[in-house]
Amino acid sequence: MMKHMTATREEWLAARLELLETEKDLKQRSDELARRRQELPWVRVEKEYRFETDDGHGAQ
Amino acid sequence: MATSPKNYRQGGRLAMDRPPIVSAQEWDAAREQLLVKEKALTRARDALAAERRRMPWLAVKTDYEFDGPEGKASLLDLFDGRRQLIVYRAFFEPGVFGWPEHACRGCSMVADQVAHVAHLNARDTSLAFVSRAPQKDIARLRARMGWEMPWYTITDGFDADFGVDEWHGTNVFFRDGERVFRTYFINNRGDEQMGNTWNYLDVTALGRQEEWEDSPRGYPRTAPYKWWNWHDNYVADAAPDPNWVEVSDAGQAQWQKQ
Repeated sequence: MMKHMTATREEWLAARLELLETEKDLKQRSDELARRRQELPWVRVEKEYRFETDDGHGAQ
Repeated sequence: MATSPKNYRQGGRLAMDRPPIVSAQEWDAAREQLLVKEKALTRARDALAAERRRMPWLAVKTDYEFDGPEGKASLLDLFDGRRQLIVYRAFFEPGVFGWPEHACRGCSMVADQVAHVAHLNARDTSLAFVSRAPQKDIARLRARMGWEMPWYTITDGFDADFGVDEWHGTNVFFRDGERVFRTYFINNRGDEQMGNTWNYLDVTALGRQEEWEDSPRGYPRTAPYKWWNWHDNYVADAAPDPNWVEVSDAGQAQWQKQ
């Protein structure tokens, strides 16, 4: 059986605004991680891989 | 209109600053280091979803009326018989940039992210887009853009009551018989994450409904991966295909060893 607390409009809004701070913190962490990804070094791809396309021609 | 990153090239060489070029081993080591942060972020996201599942619910007492492809529809009808409903308010109406050929560019970007709804439906969850445009314009827009999710017309104060009269946003509802509750609301940059099945489920009251989740007692939960199916192959209430259970167990064992 599932039971869940219900709230008045004001209580619900207060709970949502409280959680919104956590939502924003997570978004900032996510943006920061994306920035770190951009700072990662690159590795040169030196092999020539070939793929096939619909018309059969190899593409790199 | 296609744009190319030509501004970044001068004389065939990259003109921007770029990180150092390293050996494959050094690259692996740098990635491993960042992977620690990637995993920490994933766990923080799971923890946030667990907090969302503990939000109180707000009873919806107004009878809202929408226009749908088959005539009038209530908020209950938008659930389409399922227990949960996600509603995205998209701006498509006279006066909005792009009208009448297109919906708002940002809302169109969101619409283009939406995964096949069969996967959400398999977790007892429906998705609906709502706009103020009449159904005939919505039908034309869906055909033009290849959007297949249900899309209803707002006819009353639904948008104002749920914080989406002036800005886009995603409202989440739960249905207990005929009683409807608002369980969550996402807007602004929160909407960037919307569209894929996992992120949609993570904003619902029941979550992904999987065994590993930190959910209140009595919430429905089944094994992860096992409920997945091809989008054209779901059968309501069917037990997972035993062959798929075996394949997914083997796959899971493999990556957990890594």
